[in-house]
Amino acid sequence: MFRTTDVILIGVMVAAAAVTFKIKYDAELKYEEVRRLEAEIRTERDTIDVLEADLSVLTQPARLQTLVDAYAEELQLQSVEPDQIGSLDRLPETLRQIGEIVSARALEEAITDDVQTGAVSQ
Amino acid sequence: MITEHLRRLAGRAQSKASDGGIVLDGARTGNGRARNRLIMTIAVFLALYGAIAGRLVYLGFQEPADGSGPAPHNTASRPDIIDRNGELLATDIKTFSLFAEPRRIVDADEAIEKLLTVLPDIQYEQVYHRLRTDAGFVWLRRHLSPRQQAEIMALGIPGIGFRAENRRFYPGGPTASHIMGLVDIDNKGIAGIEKFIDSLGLADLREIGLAERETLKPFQLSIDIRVQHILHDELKRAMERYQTVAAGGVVLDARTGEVVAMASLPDYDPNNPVDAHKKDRLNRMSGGVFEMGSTFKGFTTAMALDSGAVGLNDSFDARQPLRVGKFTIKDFHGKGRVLSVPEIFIYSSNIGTARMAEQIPIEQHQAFFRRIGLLDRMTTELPEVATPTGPAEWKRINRITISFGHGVATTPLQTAVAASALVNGGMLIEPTFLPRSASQAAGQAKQVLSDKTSAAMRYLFRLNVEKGSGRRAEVPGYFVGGKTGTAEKVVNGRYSTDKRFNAFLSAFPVDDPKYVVLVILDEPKPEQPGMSATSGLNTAPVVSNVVRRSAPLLGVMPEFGHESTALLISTQ
Repeated sequence: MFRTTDVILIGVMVAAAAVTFKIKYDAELKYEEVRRLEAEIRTERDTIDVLEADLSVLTQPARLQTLVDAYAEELQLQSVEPDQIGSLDRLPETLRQIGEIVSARALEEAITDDVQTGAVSQ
Repeated sequence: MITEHLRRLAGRAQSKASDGGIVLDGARTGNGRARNRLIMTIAVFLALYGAIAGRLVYLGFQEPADGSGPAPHNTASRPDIIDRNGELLATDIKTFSLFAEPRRIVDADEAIEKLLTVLPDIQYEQVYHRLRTDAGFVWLRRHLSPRQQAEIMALGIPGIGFRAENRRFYPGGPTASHIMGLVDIDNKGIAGIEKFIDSLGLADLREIGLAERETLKPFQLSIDIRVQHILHDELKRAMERYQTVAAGGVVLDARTGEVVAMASLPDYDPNNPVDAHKKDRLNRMSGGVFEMGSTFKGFTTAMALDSGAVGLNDSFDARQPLRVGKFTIKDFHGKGRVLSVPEIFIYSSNIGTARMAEQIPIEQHQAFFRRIGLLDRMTTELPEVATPTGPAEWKRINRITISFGHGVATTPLQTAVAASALVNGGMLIEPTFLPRSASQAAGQAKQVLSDKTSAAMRYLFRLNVEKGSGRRAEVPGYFVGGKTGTAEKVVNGRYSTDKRFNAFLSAFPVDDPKYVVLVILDEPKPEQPGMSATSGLNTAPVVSNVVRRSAPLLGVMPEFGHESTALLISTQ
C-alpha cells in the first residue's frame, strides 16, 4: 500500500510537473508575443521610413512650384518682391507715434469741426 | 540483428505457450502455425514501418522543391542624407517584391481576383499567363510599399511570397543629383557624396556587420534644398531659353566656404540613373575645366591692386590693339581711349587688363593665381574633381591671355571659391559640402590678399552691375555685384567666334558679401535672332533670378539705402 508520504510526494511531483509545464508554456506564449511585437515594430519602422520619404516627396520645392504654377491664376498667387520684405525694427521711428498724432488731430478737429453731415443737426 | 531479435521474440512466445501461462490465441491451433503467423505479422508491420522510415529518409535527403527563386539580395543599409535644415535628401526604404510560384498556385483566377483588390492596375491576361506556366518562380511586381505588402499578405493567397529589398531613394529626384552621386545595386556609394560617406568608414562598418539602419545617424550636408531647387530650376529655364549645351551654377557661403547649392545640367535622376554615365552628364562645376574668360579679369585686377603697383586711379592706354608676336589682342566693345582701372573692369577691356597685368612680373602673376587656388586641384568632399590645365611655364603671351581668362582652364567651383576670397576680405576658404561654422572656417582660412584690395574689388564688382556689363544682374534691395565673362570656346584648336562659354561671377550683398553666386552657360544662343549672346544678356539675368528668389530664404534682408560711394570711400 502507498504510504501517506508517498501520496504527498507524488502529489508534489505532479504539481511541480504541472507548474513547470505551465511556466514553459507561458514562456513560449510570451516569446511568441515578443516575436510578433518585434515584427510589428519592424513593419512600423519601415512604414515610418516610407512615410517620411513620402512627406519629403510631397514637400519638394519642385513639386510645390508646379502646384503654385498650376493654381497661380485661380488663387491669385504672386511671388514676393524684395521691397515687400521688412522687419518691425526697420520701420521709421515716427510711425510709432502715429497714435498720438491721430488723437492730437482729432482733438483739434473736435473743436473746429464745421463739417456738415447728416448726423449733425441741420 | 533484426532476425536475431525476431527469433528471441518467437522463442519467448513458444516458451510461454509451453508454460501454460498466458497463451496466444494462435498457440492452440498448433505451435508451428502460430509462430509462422506471428512472424508474418511482425514482418508485415516491419515492412510497413520500414517503408515509412525509408520514405522519410528519402524525403529528408531531397532538396526542397525549387520555389524560392533567385537568392535573396542582401543590400546594405546607408545613413539618411539631410540638408542643412534637416530636409531629407536621400533615404533607404524597404520595398517588397511580389513573386509567385505557379506550380503551387491552386486557382490562378482566384489569386488574380484577390490581387486586383490591392493592385488594381495589374494586367489580368499577362499575369494569368504567367501563373499558368510551369515555371517555379515568376516576379509579379517589384518594389511594393510595406502597406501594400501587408494588404496582400492579409489576402492569404497560397503560392505567392515577398522578397524584401533595401532601396536608396532620393525624394528630390534630379534636383541635387550631382552632389548626391550614385549607389550601385549593392547600395554602395559609387559617386558624389554617397561615395564620400563610404570612404569615411561606412564600408568598414558594413564589413563587420555594424551598419545597422537604426544605429546610423543621418548625414548632414551644407546644401539648402530650397536654394538648390531654385538654382536648378533657373538653370533649366536658361537652358531652354538660350538653347545651351549645358548650364551650371553654384551658391557659396562667402564666409564659411559651404556650398549651399550646386547644379550642373544636363543631369540625371538618381532614382533611375540610366543615363548617369553619359558623357554630357558630368558634373561641370567640379569635374569639368573651362577657360573662364573675362571673370578672370577680377583676379588679374585684384592681383594688380594687391601688389601696390597699380592703384584704382591709374589709367591704361586701350586705344590700339596689343600685338604680342603674331597675336593681336583686341577689345570686344572697344572704347578706343585711355581707360581708368574701374573703366577697364566695367567695359571688360582685354587690352587694358593685359597692360595692367604687365605692370607685375610674370612669376608674381602666376604665384598669385596659384595662391588663390585657381591652378591646382582643389580638395573637397566630392570625388569628382578635375585638375586645372594650363602652361607649366608662363610666357608673355600666356600671361596676357590668362589675364583675361584664356589659356588656363579651371573648374567653375574653384573660380567661385577664389572669388569669395576676393570679396570676403581676402580669406581663401576651401569649399565644403558639409556644415561648417564661421569659426571653423576662420581656423583654416588663408589670407591671400589684403582687406583693402578686397574692399576695392567689392567696389568694382558693384560698379560693374550699376554701370557696366552686369546691369541685368541687379536685384533691387540685394546690392548685387558681379563680373561677366564671355569666353570664346576652342573648336579644333582654334578660338571659335560663334561658340561661347559664358559666366557670371557675383556676390551679394556686396557691401558685406554673404553669398557668392556663379552661373555658367555653355554655348548659349541669342534669345532672339539678331540679338547678341554675351554674358551680360544671359548669365546675368539668371544670377538676378537666383538671387531674388533665394535671398529671402537665405535670411538676407533687402536694404534700399545702399550707397555705392560708401564702398569707394572704404577703399581709400
